Amino acid sequence: MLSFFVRRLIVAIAVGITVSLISFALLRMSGDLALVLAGEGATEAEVAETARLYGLDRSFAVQYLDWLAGAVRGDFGRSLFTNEPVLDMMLETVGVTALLAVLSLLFGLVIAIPLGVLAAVRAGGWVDQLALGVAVFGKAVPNFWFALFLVFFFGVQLRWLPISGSQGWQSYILPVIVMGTGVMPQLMRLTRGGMIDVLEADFVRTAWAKGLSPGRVFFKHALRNAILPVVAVSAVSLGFLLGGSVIVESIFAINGIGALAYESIRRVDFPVVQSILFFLSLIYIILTLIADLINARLDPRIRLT
Amino acid sequence: MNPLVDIRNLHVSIPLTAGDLKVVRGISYTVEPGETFAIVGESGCGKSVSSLALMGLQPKQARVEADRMTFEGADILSMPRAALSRIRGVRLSMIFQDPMTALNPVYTIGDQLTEVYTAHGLGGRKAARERAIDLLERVGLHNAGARMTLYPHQLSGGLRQRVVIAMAMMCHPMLIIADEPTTALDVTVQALTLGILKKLQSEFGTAMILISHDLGVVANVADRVAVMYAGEIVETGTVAEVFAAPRHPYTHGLMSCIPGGAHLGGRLPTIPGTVPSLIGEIDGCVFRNRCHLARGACNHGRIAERLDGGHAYRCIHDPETLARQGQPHAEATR
Ligand SMILES: Nc1ncnc2c1ncn2[C@@H]1O[C@H](COP(=O)(O)OP(=O)(O)O)[C@@H](O)[C@H]1O
Ligand code: SF4
Ligand SMILES: [Mg+2]
Repeated sequence: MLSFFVRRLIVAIAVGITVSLISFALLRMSGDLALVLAGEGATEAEVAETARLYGLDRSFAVQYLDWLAGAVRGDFGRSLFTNEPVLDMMLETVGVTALLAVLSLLFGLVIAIPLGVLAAVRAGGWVDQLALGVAVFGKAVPNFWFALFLVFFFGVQLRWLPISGSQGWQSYILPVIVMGTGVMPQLMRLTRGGMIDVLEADFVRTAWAKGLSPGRVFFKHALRNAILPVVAVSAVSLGFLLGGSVIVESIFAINGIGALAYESIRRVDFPVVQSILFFLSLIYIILTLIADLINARLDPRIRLT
Repeated sequence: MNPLVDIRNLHVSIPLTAGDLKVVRGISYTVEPGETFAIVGESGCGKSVSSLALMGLQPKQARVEADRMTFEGADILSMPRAALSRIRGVRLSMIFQDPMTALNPVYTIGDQLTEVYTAHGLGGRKAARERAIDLLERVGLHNAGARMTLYPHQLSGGLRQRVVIAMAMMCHPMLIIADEPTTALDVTVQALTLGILKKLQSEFGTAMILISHDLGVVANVADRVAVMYAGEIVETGTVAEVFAAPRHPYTHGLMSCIPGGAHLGGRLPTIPGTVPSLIGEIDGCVFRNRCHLARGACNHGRIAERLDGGHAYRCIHDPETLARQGQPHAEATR
């Protein structure tokens, strides 16, 4: 188990370095940052001065290593806009985003797993049809459209729920519904597909032959075998929710890291954008590592590989 | 005493687009408490499906009909699901062919053993654990207490099948259905595993329906035997009689093809020809396209069952004619 963890950790670190390198390169390739920073109508000398000021005149390798050296010490530089340390800005906002993402994933799973199991048990039946309909709806309707619809219906028409801000727990309800509905279909279909395969397995027939109740057969014997890909994809979904909350956070005016990223992109605050990219991918990598460990816990055979 | 199992005229069919696949065609048999009843026959003749039907575990699409199918006097066909669940694993349990897939890979063997006992409310965790350890020791997994925490993949096929046997015995059932319990195992451990099953069976006084390919196993282990062909039981009787004096030409073919006689054992030999299609009714004798004694009378209707002492067989010929099969003059009687 320990060597399993160490091997996964080494892979994770390698992926982390690669991702930071790519994001760093992409940002530099998106245009001449010095030109954008110096502003429209700046003279060549002013642009050169800006480049020197922000260290953009150095070679790519030097810039990257400099940044990386800071990042591993927790120093992500300062915002060009507010002059605040980037780390502080991220830490202030990431909590809200993380809470939103976790709640959304839980909401998605709480619907996806029972629905997926029921759909598989009665494949082709009305529950299955309904689940398929819900899945198609969840995937087809754009987040922002669904968000605006909910805001209009529950916030403006019925006035049941706040339509913006991140003060009370009520302000999380609509965003969580929107984002949870986004990740639910894939998790549900995965659960259903896995269950349909597993229900044919010999050990499920053994479970029936032991006279176990349907609940035990489906949820204890079958689900645990069918759930492995769902765990892996949940980790990916959570990363997706963390990074993809940009739109939902702006619609609901939630003060999270997504909104910060959106703002920073708009005002070309590249140290912040760069660091958020790195930070989110780091979280993503840690999440997949955790998913691996959960899977190893759920399936003893994985511990060997 | 009432028979433990009483099956009369059991039919199982599976609807296909080409028509109904009639997998089991009106078989009848009884199993008495404590006895071993063997079912032999080529692969695909309906051995598994007919015994799964007795547990209500037939394939989902299958249609099961019978004049009577009772276990301990209770009608399996009309039994509600919940009632069926209460007797499965408790009064009658099943051992499947492939131990590599029959156990759940993500739970320890201890969990899977104790579960059947606790889930049926027969006792608490502690009692279940004691019983599981006792059974594991009896099937020859020594130091069983420590091995309870192993996962199936940590055991060899032979040991897994012993775990399956122990699991089937957890609630001391009245009947065990063993569907080719050693076929998937390494030849070197087949006899050992069967011996363990047999020993436990006699210790607990459990009856057994033993499905097998292996005539040698049947000769050694069973009290009575039914020979199945294309969904029918073509011959049935005590092992002693059927092996000493096979009547049905199919049984006869099986026995006489084995060099040195059936008593030496071995897999079912191949008889020239192919099994008829199981789709729809078969008019006449199911074996007639492979039978060297076939006559015009074999071509129509269902062949009636004839009795010869402790024997029953489905063939138009009388026992004397059939007894001469394989002798030099047998063909001359045509
Ligand atoms: N789930 C199923 N769907 C369709 N046909 C099946 C199914 N299970 C068994 N059969 C068919 O039923 C027949 C009898 O199968 P089975 O009882 O497993 O034979 P045996 O155990 O004697 O080898 C075979 O022709 C097989 O193809
Ligand atoms: S009934 Fe006819 S075809 Fe069938 S086994 Fe007897 S002789 Fe052969
Ligand atoms: Mg079979």
